[in-house]
Amino acid sequence: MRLLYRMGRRLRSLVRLRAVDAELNEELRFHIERQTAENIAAGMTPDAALRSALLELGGIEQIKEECRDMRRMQWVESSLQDARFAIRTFSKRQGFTLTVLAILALGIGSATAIFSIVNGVLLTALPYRAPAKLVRIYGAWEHGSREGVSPPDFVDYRQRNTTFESLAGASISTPLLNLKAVGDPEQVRSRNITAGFFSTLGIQPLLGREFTLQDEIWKAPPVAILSYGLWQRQYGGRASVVGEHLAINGVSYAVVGVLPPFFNFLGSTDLFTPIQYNPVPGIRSARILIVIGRLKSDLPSAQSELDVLSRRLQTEYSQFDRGWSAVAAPLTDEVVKDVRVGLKMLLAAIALVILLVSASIASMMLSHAASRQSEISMRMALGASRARLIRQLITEGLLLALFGGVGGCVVGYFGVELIKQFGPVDIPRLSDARIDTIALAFTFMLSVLVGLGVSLEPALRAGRADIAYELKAGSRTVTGRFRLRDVLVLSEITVSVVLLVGAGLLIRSLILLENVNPGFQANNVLTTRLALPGSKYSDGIGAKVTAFWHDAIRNIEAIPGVQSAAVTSELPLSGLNNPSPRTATADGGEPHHVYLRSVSPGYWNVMRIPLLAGRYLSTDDHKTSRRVVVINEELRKDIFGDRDPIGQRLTFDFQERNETENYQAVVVGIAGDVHHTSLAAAPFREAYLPMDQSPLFSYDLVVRTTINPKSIASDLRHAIWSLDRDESVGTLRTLDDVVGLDLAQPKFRGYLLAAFAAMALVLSASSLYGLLSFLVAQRRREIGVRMALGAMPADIFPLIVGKGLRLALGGLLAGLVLAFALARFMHTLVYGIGSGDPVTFVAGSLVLLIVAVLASYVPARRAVNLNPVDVLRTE
Amino acid sequence: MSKPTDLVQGTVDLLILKTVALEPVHGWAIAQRIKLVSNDVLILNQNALYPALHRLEEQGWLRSEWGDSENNRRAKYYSLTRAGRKRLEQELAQWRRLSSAIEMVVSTA
Repeated sequence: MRLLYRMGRRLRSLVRLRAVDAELNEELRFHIERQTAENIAAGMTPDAALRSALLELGGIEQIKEECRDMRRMQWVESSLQDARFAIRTFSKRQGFTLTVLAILALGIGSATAIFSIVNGVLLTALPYRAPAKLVRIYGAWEHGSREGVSPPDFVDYRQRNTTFESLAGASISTPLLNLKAVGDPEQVRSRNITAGFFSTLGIQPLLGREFTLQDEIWKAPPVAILSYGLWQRQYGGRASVVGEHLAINGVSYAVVGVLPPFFNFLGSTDLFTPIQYNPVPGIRSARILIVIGRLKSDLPSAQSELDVLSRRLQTEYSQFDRGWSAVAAPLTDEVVKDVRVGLKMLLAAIALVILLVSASIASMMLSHAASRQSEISMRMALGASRARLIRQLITEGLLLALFGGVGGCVVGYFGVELIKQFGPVDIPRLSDARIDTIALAFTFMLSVLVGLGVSLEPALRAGRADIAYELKAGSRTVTGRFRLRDVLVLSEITVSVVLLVGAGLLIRSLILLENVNPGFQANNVLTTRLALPGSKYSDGIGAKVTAFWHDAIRNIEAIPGVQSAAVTSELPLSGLNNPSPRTATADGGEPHHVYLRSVSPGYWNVMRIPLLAGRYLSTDDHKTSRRVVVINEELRKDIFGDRDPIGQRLTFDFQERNETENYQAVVVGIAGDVHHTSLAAAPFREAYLPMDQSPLFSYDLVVRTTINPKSIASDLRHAIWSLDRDESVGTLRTLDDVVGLDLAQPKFRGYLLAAFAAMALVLSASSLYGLLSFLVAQRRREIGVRMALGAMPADIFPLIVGKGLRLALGGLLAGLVLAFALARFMHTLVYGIGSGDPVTFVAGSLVLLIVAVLASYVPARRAVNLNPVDVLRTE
Repeated sequence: MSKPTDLVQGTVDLLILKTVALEPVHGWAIAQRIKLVSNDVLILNQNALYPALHRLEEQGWLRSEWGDSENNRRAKYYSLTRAGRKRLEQELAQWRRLSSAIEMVVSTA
């Protein structure tokens, strides 16, 4: 109680200084009035009475001051005084202060930005209920590839498991569908999901319900769940939407639910429909589902049960499931796995940058403190306590760091916005990243740490200072303090080397990646994905869709400026891949996994994919002619080896509708390999089937133009609309953009690290420069004397440059060792070279040495140009 | 004005606490009362009075509130807190010990 009371009074007297002063005035005035009255009563004249009362009380101001002293929170007061003094000191040295603040703002700002990104993407839990209990389940093939799970396998796992609260699935593919509801028709991204998908994640529909087992039944009445965004766009957020119908690709769907805002699962989706799979036996090999599960207890027990269950499926359905098991992994890891290493690397890099910034500022503070040594000694001589001086110096450091931190928040905010704007769009959850309270707390902590770190040494030194020695006129101490500065500069150089090498590795990888031949020519190609409504174009034999695609290609090729047009089921590097590889078997050979593409005959012409042997597919390969296939080089090597593949028969592990035999086709040509998944990944086996023999409802359209591809965009839309007015044409992209997107993440990492390395180089070079300049200034007299005694510039020059180079070489050596050790952790980010790539290490070393020599040269020149006469006269 | 006896060091607190213990009282009255009760022997230097009051309040032994004085003028009245009462007892005990010790030394010599 008493403590509270006292704190209350103290706070009051601190916050309401004026009010408390007023009370004090009134109290004293009352005293004087009473005393005056008393004196008058004793017979004095009023004037004399007042004068006597005042005299008796003594100096009023003095009493007031003493009373105030009794009340003040001494330490806050004197801290404010320290701060005011520090600010006065800083404003006297604006150059120094602004430089330090700029460096701090940049350093802390980039740390804040990177931390916010990493925090948003990696550290913040997924926005689902108890995300740690969520796992993703893969179908794992014994030969290494990880795929989805087929719908019937999923249903079996769902029924037989005991270790999951619930299991649910979602389609890997997110087809674009044409939607006609209340508002404008639009193309929406959709995903098929199973019953219980949202409850497994722990998401409650905002309106209506989620899908049930009844909705999963083949040919059950079509139903749909809308995303919040779609609901707002199409229905303006009308609550009565549940039960209404909308048209998806021409089919009427009943709306059964609306999702809350911000629901996001592996990329944004506008519309969900239930999975309804045709219960034919072959569907068991269509591994098209992302399966998620909510664990009852722990992952290992769930995994061992999955092992048992998948072994059972392998024997029950050996035709489809042989060699396939189920593997569970935490969902959080799965969502961000592709960027985890890259972001961790950036985090490590930013930690290094912060170390370097601190070292650099500490070194600046040292010379700042050195120039203030006489001031500090003077204050001590005048009776300032050591504690007070130490506090003063720490206050200065903290104040600088906090102001720097405020600047850092601003820099960080723009940094995050910049990264969101120009960074790779395919970093999952990037849009979630922002400067939030956690990031602000992080920045604050960082600033305090940096502030303490940089002021520690000067403060301790002040605590030890020997007044008499320091005050002695002309004392020239060069030792001690400057050894610490050497260490600081050395460690700055070490960190710079690590960052330089890291940036070098990434930039070299990027250059190599940019020079990877994707297997096709990307310039002057426009592309978009088209989807036809099955309701309108389904005829059981694919004649209608085939006709549409042929007409579309013909119409587009008639547009002026278009050279050729074609369609493919999956465009390379578009992120789209056939969710489930098939196997291809040559007569008497082993089955090999292969990705199937369905393409129109002109595909290779548009993409300029080279033909290595045989022929391309042609318009003669139609529905009723002999089934043919063009294979890529990878598939030829693996299946046929040295044999001539042309004319050989391949058998695939699927059947056409209404057929019982596996699909067979004769190889007519060999095409060059194409990087399909990414430039960094080696090409995989591919087989191209003619569109007429395997027509699909949706294709990527590719159009090669002789003019700027974007300029035909509107003609292209009209060419499609002249065939079907209801067909919506989505975003049109150039193939160059598609390829560019594949490079977005390596570019992002490479450029960011390069920026850090450049910053590191500039900082450490200026620290080295500062150190040597200081050294020259300190040794002016010595150098002057030496020169007066006949030393030549050639004797003086190595003195300074040698010092710089010794530091640089020491830092370089330490840096190379450290870089070599750290680079191994980023081997997955490095392409085409080893993480110990000698070229990069040598180039990084050279860059550093050149910069170090430059930074040493200028102070050395200054030393050499000293005029001994001037020096000796001024001393 | 004469300065009859310098107050023994450290006794100002005791005098103030004792004076305030009877009833809430303002600064001027404290000085007056000490002077009166001690038959003009103890004259509290008013230089020291107010800083001491503020210090004692700061230490939590006194509390203050504004009230109307004898002649309807607002004045700041000081009263003893519970901690102050305890403090007064301590100071009193100490004072008695000290004065009796001095008394013994002085009378036996």
